[in-house]
Amino acid sequence: MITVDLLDDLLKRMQAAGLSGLEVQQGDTSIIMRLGSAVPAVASSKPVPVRSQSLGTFRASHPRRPNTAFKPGDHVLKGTALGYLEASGTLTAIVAPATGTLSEVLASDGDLIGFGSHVFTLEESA
Amino acid sequence: MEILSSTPLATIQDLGRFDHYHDGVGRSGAMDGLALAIGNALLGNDTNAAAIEIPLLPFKLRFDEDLDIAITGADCEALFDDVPLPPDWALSVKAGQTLTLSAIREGCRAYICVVGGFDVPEVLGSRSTQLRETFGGHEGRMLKKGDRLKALGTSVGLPPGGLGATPFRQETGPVTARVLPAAEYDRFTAESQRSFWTTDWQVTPQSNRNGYRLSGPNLTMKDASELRSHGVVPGTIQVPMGGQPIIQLADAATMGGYPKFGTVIEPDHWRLAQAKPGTAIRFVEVDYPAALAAQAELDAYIADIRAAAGRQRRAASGWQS
Repeated sequence: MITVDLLDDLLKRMQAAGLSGLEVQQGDTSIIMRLGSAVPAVASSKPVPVRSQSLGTFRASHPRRPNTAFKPGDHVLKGTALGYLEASGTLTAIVAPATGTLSEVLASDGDLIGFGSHVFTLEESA
Repeated sequence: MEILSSTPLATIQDLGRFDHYHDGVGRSGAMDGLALAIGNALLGNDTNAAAIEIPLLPFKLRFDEDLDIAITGADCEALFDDVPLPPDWALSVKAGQTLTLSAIREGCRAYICVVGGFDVPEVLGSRSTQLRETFGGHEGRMLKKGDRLKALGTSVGLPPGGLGATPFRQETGPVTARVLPAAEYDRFTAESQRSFWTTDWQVTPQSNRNGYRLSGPNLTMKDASELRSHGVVPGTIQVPMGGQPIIQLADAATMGGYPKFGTVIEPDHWRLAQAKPGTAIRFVEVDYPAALAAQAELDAYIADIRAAAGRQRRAASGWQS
């Protein structure tokens, strides 16, 4: 029997797997589910400022990986290095504090960045 | 930590086994000494701390204790659990987390360094794996799935988000290796000498820790004659009868009888270590003072990273306490 609980479960599974369509058959009962692109996320996102925890010269790309800078709209995982601060031969990272979508890049390559500067904004995924 | 998957030829290496040439024991040691030096500098290790050298990917391991590590050498797809890591990067890991090294973007040998270096017995003054003689490193052999390894240290207080090094120098075009002409250089024809310095030599698939076989024009001697066996060191370029040169490297035998055309200077061995089969290598002639200056330049680069990494770690520890 197809219950509301089952539908909820199927919907969650579709969202988790990124599916746009699903067909389920149980005995002689079947259900087809289609998700439009406008289906909202389970919870709304919230902006999170990403601040530097070190100081140095901002590098949007790692020097060994030129032209790999993150742009607004990029999806990033918690812990990912979003940018780098160079200081006399070493690099520290400005790290995504949460998984989400980058909405703002507030520094340009070569900028001097201090402790606690707001460098990126992230829309946190629920 | 436990190795969850490995490909052949991953070994434990430090700087190498010196002063046993008279026993017929070659140097071994890290092919890319620069990558080893960067990893050890980021972690504040002794310069001779042992690391894992990984010439073929993928490689996966799981940590069973909290530990600071560094990934250096080839730029590869490195995932710490699911999070991508930058190249030449030191980070703190927790027990239960995994590290996966896969697709290579640039270079061909990756290194995993740990605080204090890997805890394997020192044999003849080194922790390097002597593959041919099957001693040193981890049980004298390549690493394999299921092996358990331990670091001699644990944590050095890295900045949150980790700590990296800026690259030594960004270069494009063929790999250049500087060469000192060797004992039999003058016995090669002028034409061979000319083509040696002007050819883009190809690294062939017959290349490994013992040495690289190169492909290009044949180098011929004015007076082809047999030589007595003589000492060979990593970097020696020999020319066997066929005329195609061989660069002897970390696991080279201590003796050989082929004529010696030149020697790649030590500060350029790391460039060879990261040149995969198919890569073009161009040789540039230098004299002894220029070779020493090149070594001094590389040493200064490492010293700068070591000093700056120390400041970063102290600042990070200050924030955390």
